Amino acid sequence: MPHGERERRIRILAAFGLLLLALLVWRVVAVSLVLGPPLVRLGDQFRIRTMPVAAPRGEIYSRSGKLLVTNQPSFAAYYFRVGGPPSAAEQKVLEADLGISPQAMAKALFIFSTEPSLPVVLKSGLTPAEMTQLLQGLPQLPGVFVNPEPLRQDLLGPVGGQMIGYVSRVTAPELASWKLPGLTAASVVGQTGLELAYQKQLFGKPGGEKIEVNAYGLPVKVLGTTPPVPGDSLTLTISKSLELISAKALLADMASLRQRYGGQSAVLAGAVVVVNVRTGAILSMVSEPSYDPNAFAQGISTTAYQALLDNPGLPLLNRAVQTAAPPGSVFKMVTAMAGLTSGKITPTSTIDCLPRYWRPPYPYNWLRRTSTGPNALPQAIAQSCDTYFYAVGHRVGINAMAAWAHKFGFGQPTGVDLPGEVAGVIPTVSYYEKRYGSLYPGLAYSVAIGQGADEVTLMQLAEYISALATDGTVVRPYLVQKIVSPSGQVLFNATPKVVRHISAPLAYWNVIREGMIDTTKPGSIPGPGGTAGAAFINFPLQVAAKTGTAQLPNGVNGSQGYMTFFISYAPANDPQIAVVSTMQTISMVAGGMIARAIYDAYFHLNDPNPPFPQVLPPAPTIGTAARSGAAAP
Amino acid sequence: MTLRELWRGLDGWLIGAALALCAMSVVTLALTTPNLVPGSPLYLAKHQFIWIVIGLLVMAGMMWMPHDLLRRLRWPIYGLTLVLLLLVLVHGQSVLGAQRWINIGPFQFQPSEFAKLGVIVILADILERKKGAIRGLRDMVPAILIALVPMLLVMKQPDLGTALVIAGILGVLLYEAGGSGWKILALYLGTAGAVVLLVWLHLTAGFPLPLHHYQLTRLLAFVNPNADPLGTGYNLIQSEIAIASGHIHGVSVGEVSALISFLPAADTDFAFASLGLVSGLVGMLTALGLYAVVVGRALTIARQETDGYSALVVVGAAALLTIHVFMNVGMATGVMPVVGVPAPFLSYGGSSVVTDFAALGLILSSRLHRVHLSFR
Repeated sequence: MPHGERERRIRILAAFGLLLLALLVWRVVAVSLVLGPPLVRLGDQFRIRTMPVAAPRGEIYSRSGKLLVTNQPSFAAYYFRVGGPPSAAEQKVLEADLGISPQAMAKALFIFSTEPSLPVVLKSGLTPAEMTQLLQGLPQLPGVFVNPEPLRQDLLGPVGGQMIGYVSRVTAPELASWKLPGLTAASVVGQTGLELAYQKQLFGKPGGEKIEVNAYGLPVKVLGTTPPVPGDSLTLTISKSLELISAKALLADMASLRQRYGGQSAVLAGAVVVVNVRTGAILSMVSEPSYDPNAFAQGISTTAYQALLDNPGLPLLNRAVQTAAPPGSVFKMVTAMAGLTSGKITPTSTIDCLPRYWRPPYPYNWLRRTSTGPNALPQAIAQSCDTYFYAVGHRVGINAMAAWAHKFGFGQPTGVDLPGEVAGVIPTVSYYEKRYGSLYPGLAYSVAIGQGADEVTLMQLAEYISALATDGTVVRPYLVQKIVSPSGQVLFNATPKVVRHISAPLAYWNVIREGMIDTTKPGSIPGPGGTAGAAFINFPLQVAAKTGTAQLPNGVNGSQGYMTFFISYAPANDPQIAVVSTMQTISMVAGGMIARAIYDAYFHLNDPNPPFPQVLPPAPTIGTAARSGAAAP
Repeated sequence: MTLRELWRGLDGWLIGAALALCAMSVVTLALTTPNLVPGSPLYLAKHQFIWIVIGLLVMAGMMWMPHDLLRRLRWPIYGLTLVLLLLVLVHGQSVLGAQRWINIGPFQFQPSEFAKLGVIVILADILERKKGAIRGLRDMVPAILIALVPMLLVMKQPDLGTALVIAGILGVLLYEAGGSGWKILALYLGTAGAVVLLVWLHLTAGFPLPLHHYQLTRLLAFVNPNADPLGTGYNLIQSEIAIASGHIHGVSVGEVSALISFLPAADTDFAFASLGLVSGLVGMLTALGLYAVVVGRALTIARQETDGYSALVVVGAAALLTIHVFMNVGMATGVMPVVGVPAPFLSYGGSSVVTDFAALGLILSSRLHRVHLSFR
């Protein structure tokens, strides 16, 4: 081949080479300036991670400023999904160090399928041993971080657990529905009780730490930090000492009934509420059996949670607001007021209190087998004469009683600042007609003694007894007195809210009060005694009260069961606080002793015959007792 | 021939450009691999420097050796190449799923790099004998067969990149020896078309293919890297991220280590992307310019060569470097599939650096011996 031809071909090759060079130059410039930058932003998703810094939830204080719920320093392990679930080797380390199963991991990752640059929490409240193991294993675990996370701590523990409520890791639907600033899959939110009711105030605003990591998921540097803003704090109307006394008294009464009636199954559950009758401020609220919110904050185990669900006493339920039951005899003041205002009875008119009230075709029995002769209203209330009220019910009718029940606040939520409050039921004639087709004879008798289809909550009874104490002022009960921002600014200060004034002649209120005072008068029946007399022997304070016992269709644990109520206020001549309690039990009488213990503590009475002396200390040492520990589980 | 004559035979532009690329390599390695060997931040940079020195010595040796001598030794060289490639397959070192290395004392040695040179030496002879009379496919067959044997051996390793480089060298030499450009183009495009058809049949009808699964997925990732950004397309995306992160001047020294950790094979296959990260567009265009100088000078030397065999050897060596550049830079910027071909003088590795300098030696030998003769 001639040299010239070779040279020509080399030139063509050189031209071809230049073409390739031009292609590369174009490509290098294009990648560098046009195609690459969007990929750099994509890469940042893997490289730059925002580690949320949880805001400490707002603290919760008692009425006198004692700390009830706070946060304790703790550490949590977080995981960033860098491109899928961890490898088999990483999963093995995670399982060995933290006990995180592949299923749990898959669940955690599912929650946060929306935001790849945000982490999920693998485990909170790491123990020191877990911390050590995890920190040693971190280099083998790209994507796993350990960061501080405040852990919710309820200093009351199970006492009033349902009222305070619990917090737990946000779930996927909650993540979508809660509109909280800075909420991520790593956040903790209130699930029940006050923690839920005041979610927005308590949550605060989480901060964030932007961290640059390398390909192995190890932090290289912190790019920026936004500090979290703690949540607002709540000051409750709750008295810490009274809360503890209430729980102790309730548990002690439950224990003594169990002792007397043979075993655990004799008492299923109980609840106590103490309110200021003039303001509606709730001084204590307990519901037993209860649960410890701290267990949820630390991440409750499936078995522990299942045990709560399986407990027949339904510990997750706040029996003050979340359940309603027939009121039984505590309803009789409604019947009385309906009778008085309609003129069917007068403060002095009498009705023979017979053991049996005969209206064909059915006999209606009173509990007691003996006649107590002609009863005026005070005696009928104090001794809870059913036949007296059968007659009143018969005279005034179902609708008149329902109308008065509504005036006292039954059949509607009280509006207390707790989630899940039920309204209860106050049936009218049309309700019964709809339900049963027609009224059966004597239905009004049942209604008159609170044994119809009525259902009331303990909270409504507290509102009702407060109205009876204040001659007709119905106030809305409430738990949160003050909301204070982290900077100390008072954002909200509760003022008593009067729902309505029930207008009735003062004489009527007084005659009913007279009956309720006589209820706590010691003595026998027949005789001068009231139904709660035995509980108030030698008590240095005059207490107005009413007992009530409703038969439960399903009983308690298969045996005959009752929902007992005890509603009261004191001092009878200058009402300040009301104590109401309920118990689901096979006993027909309960609650007087609890009220006695609470009044003793609240008014510093030095009760000469303290109830539950082995459990409750004498009055002057309330403070120490309150601090010395929580109630039994 | 004296050392002085050897010195005079050096082409200043060619050597200068190659050494400038080497300097970029050493600096890039020093910046990107400070944590590779604990307590020895310059480990790779130092080793690369040593390989460059060894490469220069090999280059001097190749310069000194006249092409006549190489031509006489072509069969032993070719035979040795094949034996080494077989040796790799029989008991080579396996790294990341590919069996490419054999141990010689303390060194690991990659025969596929040297195979490219061996192929040039023998193909130049076979094609030069045609004296430009390459009219059809029939005249190309012996050269194709000679190239095909080492190609099949390296594909078995599997090393698709080297096989493609040899195919590229074959094509350039066929053309330079007088083959019809269109026919060669048709031959290559036809082969590529057949491969595409086979892959398509493989994917749709399960037609058996002698390709390894990873090779296939890499080819497919080349077509659409975003289909599986964390799998096979990951390399390319990370490469483009590194290049774009470098922007105009490169990132600051402190930022390098975190960013480079995402780039796989940053010191070898993606050396050009590493360069982009630390030196930006300026560094990358400079490197491309230096490559242009090397290849341009090589082609000038080939043009001035009077001997047909020597000219083919020089063109072959220039083709080797050019194809490496195109495939490596193309791979880093997404115009070529990820097939693991080193960037000449930039990528870390003894076999690669020494081969690149040996290729320079082949080129400079032509010039030296011509210069030498003219001074006689």
